[in-house]
Amino acid sequence: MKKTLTINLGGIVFNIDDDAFVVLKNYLDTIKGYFDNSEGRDEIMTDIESRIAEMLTEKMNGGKEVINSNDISAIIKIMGQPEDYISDDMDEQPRTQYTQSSQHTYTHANQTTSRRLFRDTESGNVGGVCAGIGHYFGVDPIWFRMAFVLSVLFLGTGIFLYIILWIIMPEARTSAEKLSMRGEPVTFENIGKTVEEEMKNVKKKFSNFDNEAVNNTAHNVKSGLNQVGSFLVSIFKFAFQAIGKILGFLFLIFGGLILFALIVGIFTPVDQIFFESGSDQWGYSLIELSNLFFPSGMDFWLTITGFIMLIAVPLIALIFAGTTMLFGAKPPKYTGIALAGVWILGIILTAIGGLRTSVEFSKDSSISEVTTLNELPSDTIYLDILNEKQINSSYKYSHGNREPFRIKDGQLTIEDVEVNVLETNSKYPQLEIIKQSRGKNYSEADQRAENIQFSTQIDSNTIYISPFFTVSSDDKWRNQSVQVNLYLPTGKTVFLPKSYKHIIYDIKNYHDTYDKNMVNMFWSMTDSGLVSPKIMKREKKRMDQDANDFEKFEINITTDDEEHSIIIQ
Amino acid sequence: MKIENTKAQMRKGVLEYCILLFIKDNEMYPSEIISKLKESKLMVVEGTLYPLLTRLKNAGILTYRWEESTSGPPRKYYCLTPIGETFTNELSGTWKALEEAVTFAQKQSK
Repeated sequence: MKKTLTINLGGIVFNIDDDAFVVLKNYLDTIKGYFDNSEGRDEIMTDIESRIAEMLTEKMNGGKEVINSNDISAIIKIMGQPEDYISDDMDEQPRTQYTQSSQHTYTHANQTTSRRLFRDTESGNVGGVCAGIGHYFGVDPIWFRMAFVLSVLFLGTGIFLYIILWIIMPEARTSAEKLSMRGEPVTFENIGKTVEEEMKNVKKKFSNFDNEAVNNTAHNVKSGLNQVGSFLVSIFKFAFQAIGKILGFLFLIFGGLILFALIVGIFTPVDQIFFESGSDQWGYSLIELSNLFFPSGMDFWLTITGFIMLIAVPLIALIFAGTTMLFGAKPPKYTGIALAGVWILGIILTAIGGLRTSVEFSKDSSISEVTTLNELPSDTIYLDILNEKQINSSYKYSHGNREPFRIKDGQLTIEDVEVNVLETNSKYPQLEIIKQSRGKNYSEADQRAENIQFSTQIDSNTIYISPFFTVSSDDKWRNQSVQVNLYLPTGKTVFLPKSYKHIIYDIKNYHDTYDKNMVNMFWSMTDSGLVSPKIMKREKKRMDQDANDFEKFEINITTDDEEHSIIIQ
Repeated sequence: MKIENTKAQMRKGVLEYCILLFIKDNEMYPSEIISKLKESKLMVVEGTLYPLLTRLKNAGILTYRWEESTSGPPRKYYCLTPIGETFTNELSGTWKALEEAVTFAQKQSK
C-alpha cells in the first residue's frame, strides 16, 4: 500500500505515488537551482513541466491511474539528468556552486533539503526516539539509547523524558519525511556552501540598502516607520506567543501529572482506605467499602468508571490544549467530539450508578420496642454504658472519637446510638428502643431495621445501654441508626453519667442546658420538664448573691466533677 | 582541457544552428524539434532544449504562439523572427566557411 498525492503539472492533474513525487520534486528543484531568474528560469521550468505533463498524459492514456517512480525514472531518462543541463547548456563560466552537486546523481540532490527531527519507527526499538535523534546528529543511536537507559537509574527521569520526546517528535511517515529526517550529512563542504549563500544574501541586502539611501527621504521615513511598526508588531506577537507557550507548558504539566496520578491510582490495587481517629488508624479494602455501599458490583463499576471518565476527559482536553499551544500540533480530527462523547458517557454512567444506589436509600422504616420498668427498687434510675464484656464484643466504645464504622468478621459496627429522656403520663418509666433503616422498599427497610443487633440490660435500678450496634455486612450500610427513649413519669429521677456525653442527644430540659453539660448530674422530671437540683441550687445561690451584694464578684468555675466558687471582695 | 568540454562546445554551436534551420521552413513545437534532433543524433536528452529555446527567444531570434493540444498542456509553436532569419543566414555563411576550413584542415592532416 502506498500513499498517493495529487499534483498539478502544467495545468493537468495527476495522481502520483508518494515516493515518485519525492523523486520528481527533487528533480525539478535541482534543475531549478541551476538557473538564475534573469535567464528566464520560470519560463524554462514551465516548459519542462509542460513537457513532463505531456509525457505523463501519454502514459495515463494506457489506462494507468497512478504515476509510480518507474514512470518518473523513464521520463528523467528522456529529459536528461540535471548534470546534462549544465554541460550541454550555455555555461561559459561553469558555476562552481553546482559542479559539486553535479558529481552526484540527482537522487543525492534531495539531500540538500534541511534536516528535521523525526521519530524513526522503522529502525527504532521502542518509539524510534533514539534512532531519530541519532539521524539528526548523524551519530549511532546506540549512544542515545545507552544514555536513556542510564538516566532511568536516576529516579526514572529517562522514562519521563522519553515519553515527552515521544509525544513531541512527529513520526517520519512519508518518504519525504524520511528523507528529511536523514537530511544532509554535515560536512565542511556543505557548511562552506551555506556560509557562501549567507554572504550572498548579506551582500544583496547591502546593495539594496545603498539603492534605498539614494531614494528620497520621504520614502525612507515611511519605510522607517514601517519598520518600527513591524518591529512592534513582532514584539507583541512574540510576547503573545511566549505567554501562549508558557500557558501551554503549564497545561501540559498540570494535566499530565494529574492524569498520571489518576492512572496510577486506577491501576495500583487500592488495598486500604484509611480512616484516622485519634491515634488509631483503621484500613478497609475498597471492595469491602463498595460492597457496603453499592447494591451490586455492577453499580460500583458503573459509578467508578463514569466518575473516572468525568475527571479524565477535562484533563486530556487540557493536555491537548497544551500541546497545541506549545508545539502548534493540532490534535487528531474528531478528538473534541470523541472527548465530549466520552464525557457525556461518563455523566450517564455516574448517573445510572448513582440513581440505582440512591434508590436503595429511598424508603425509611423504623421498628419500636417498649419495655415498662415496673420493678425498679427506687425512684432514681441510673443510666450507664453497657461494656464490651457484658455483650461479649471485641469492639471498644470510642467515647466520641467516632469512626464512621468498623467492619470485622462480616459484622458492621456503627456508633450511632442516641439517648433521649422524655416525659410520660404513665405510672412507670418506660424504655423505648427504635431501630431505623433505609431500603429500596418498606419491607426491605423493615427487614434491615429488624436485623440491627442492639443490647440493653437492666440490673436493679441501673439501665445499661450499648453505645453502638451491629448489622451484618450482607445487609449493607443503609443509614441504620438506633434511638433510645427513656420515658420518665413526674417525680422520677435519672442520673446521666459522664460517659453519656456523646450519646445523649438534644434532651429538652427546664434550664436549656446543652447535652454536653447535662452529664454527671441527676435530673428529675417535674411538671415543667426535666430539672437538675444541682443547677437549681447554683442559680438560686447566684440570685441571692446578686440581690444581697453587688460589690462581690463571683466567678464560677465548673469542671466535670466539682464546682468552685471564687468570691472576690 | 578535457575532450568532453571541446565536444560540448562544438555541439553547442552546431545545435543552435540546426534548430534554427528546422524552424526556418515551418513552425514547430519542442517535441517535434526534439524528434528531429534525435534523428540527427545531435541531442540525447530533451531537457536541455528548453533553456536553449528560451535563450534564443529572449535574444529576439525566436518567437512562439500558443496552440491547444489534444494530449496534454497547450504547446508552444516556435518560428523565426526577422532578426532570426538574418541571424540564420549569417550562421549559414559562417558554417560554410567553417566547413571549408575543416575540410581543408582534414585534407592537410591526411
